[in-house]
Amino acid sequence: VIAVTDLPPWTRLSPLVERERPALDALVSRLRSGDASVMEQVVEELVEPVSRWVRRLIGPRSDVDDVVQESLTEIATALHRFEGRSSIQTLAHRITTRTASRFYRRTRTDHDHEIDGVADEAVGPEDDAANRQQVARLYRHIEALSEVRRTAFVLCCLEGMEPTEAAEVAQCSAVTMRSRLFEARAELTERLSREDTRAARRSGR
Amino acid sequence: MTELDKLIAAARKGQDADDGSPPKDSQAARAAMVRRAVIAGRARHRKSQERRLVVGVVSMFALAALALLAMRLWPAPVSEYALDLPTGDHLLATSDVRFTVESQATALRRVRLTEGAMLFDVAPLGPGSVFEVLTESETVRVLGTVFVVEVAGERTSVRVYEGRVEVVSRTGRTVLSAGGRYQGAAATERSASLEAAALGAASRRTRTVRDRSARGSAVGASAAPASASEEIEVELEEASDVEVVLERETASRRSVERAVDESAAPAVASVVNEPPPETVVPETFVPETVVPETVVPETVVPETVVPEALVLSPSPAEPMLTSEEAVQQAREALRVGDAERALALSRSAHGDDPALFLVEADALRTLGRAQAAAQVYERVVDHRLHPPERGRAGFLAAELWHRRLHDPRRATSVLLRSGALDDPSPTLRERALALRAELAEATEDRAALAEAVRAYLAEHPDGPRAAWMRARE
Repeated sequence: VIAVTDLPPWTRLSPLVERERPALDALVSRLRSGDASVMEQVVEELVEPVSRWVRRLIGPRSDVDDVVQESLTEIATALHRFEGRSSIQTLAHRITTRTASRFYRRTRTDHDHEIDGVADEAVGPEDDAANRQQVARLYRHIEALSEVRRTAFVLCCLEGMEPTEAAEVAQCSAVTMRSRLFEARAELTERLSREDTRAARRSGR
Repeated sequence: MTELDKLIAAARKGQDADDGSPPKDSQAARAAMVRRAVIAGRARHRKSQERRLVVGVVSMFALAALALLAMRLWPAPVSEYALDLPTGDHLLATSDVRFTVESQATALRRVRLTEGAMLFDVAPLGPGSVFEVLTESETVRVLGTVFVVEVAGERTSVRVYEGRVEVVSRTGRTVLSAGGRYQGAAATERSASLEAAALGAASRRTRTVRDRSARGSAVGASAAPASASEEIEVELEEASDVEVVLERETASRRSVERAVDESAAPAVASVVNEPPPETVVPETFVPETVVPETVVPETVVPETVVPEALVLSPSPAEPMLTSEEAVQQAREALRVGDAERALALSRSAHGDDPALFLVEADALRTLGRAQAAAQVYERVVDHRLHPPERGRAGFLAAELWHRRLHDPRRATSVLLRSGALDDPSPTLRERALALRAELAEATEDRAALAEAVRAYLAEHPDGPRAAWMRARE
């Protein structure tokens, strides 16, 4: 029997690490038995990473909290059936990615991104405004990508994950992930270049 | 550094500064978010469990229904159980039979049959002795014969393998001889499974009669003709719709006679060698796939399995007979139930007398060799002399091709060229028209069906199959 406070962070316990295996098994059995205190502890641990993932996946929007809440609920549902074949973090990341994709499908509109959360205290107001514009521009183009390319781009380029790690989250091979990343970058570059060309034409007129 | 890299750096810079810790307002809001997630997660999990339970239960029911359907479509093979009564009667029953032996006394043997098929090989009864088979609505009383009774739901079918049967219903009376059927459409594979055993029993019985006859001749006694004591009666109880009378005669004719009850209608019509009419509309007319005439195989249907002892070639010791003598003696042999001898005699004479073919076909039919019998009947139909029996022979051949050999096209062909539809006998015409309609339905020939139905109803508006015809008008 494990004590609730003994083994944080629980969400990082991996089945591939031999010494963590018993603790993970005990955690799995308590989650599957519906132990509310353990469940709350685990979800509490996940709030921070899930918020970060969501922000990177969908950009700085006012409805980020809704997506975070939905992701946490999905994770809490899945934890009742968790079998310990991966770490809880990996499972949670996978679920968050899927939830963000659903969010994109629901709200695929060309509205401007809100840029509240990208203020940088270290720079002046002009630089800050320019930075916000840049981030909004990037996410407008990310939103236009396909789901798999978007996931690959966010995980690898914004989250800074290695393609092998990202592949585990996206449940595909590392080669596939590299390929998707390459395609996503190429598509984004082309989009940005087209946008620049259009802007130059407009200013020329 | 490309423009994309610059944008990525800007996004990462901004989000790193943000530190990913919403909601920003308070720890209380964060705790509320966790609690909401846990509660909603538990509810969703419970709902998904309920959904899985429902799907599981529905799947189980679906599987059970499929299993039941499969059992109905492919029933387990019927096995048989034998029972010998102390009185010498031999009973053979299908595995799903339900019956009770109510009495085993020598004077009265009584079996109550509630479901399934049973073969009764009844030992010869003494004077005054009775053997009874009771079904839900009928009583079959016999004095010695071989027959199969099957009860399927509320319908009773009878098939006689040895002896003679008369079926009397409210609408008429039918006499069946060996090979005849009563309500054949009600018989199932259970009756069919007893066929080989019944043929064997009938053959044994025939040999016994022949031996007895030979012994009688040796001591100078004349062969005893059928006596009143040999009559077998199968009677329905008073409340029954149908009365069945089985009548054992020494003259075991190959004929089936249908006669209207004298009290009900004085006119008596008879058709010799006619199979029994079925008072219930046949339900087994499965339309066959339309196949071009040229590719219909002529004789691919296997013969009914007949015990080897029944398949005899003409005896080498048999003296050469004229065709008239051969026909006469073969008819006599058929009358005493010796179909093997009748077959041998019919083949012993030279010539192409149609009467010889007819008796040969009768013998083959009695022996259960349906395909050979049908082919020989056809020789009568196609005989150069156009014998008057060609209508009857054609009808019998058509019945065999259709009902036993499941070849409605060949049956249609022989029926049409035999002239049975224009035969002088109204009873034969009635049966032939009914068969024509069945065949038209089986071959999906709508025009022919309509024509046959019209002709039938015009000529026999109150005929036994008028209701069936009207349903197809």
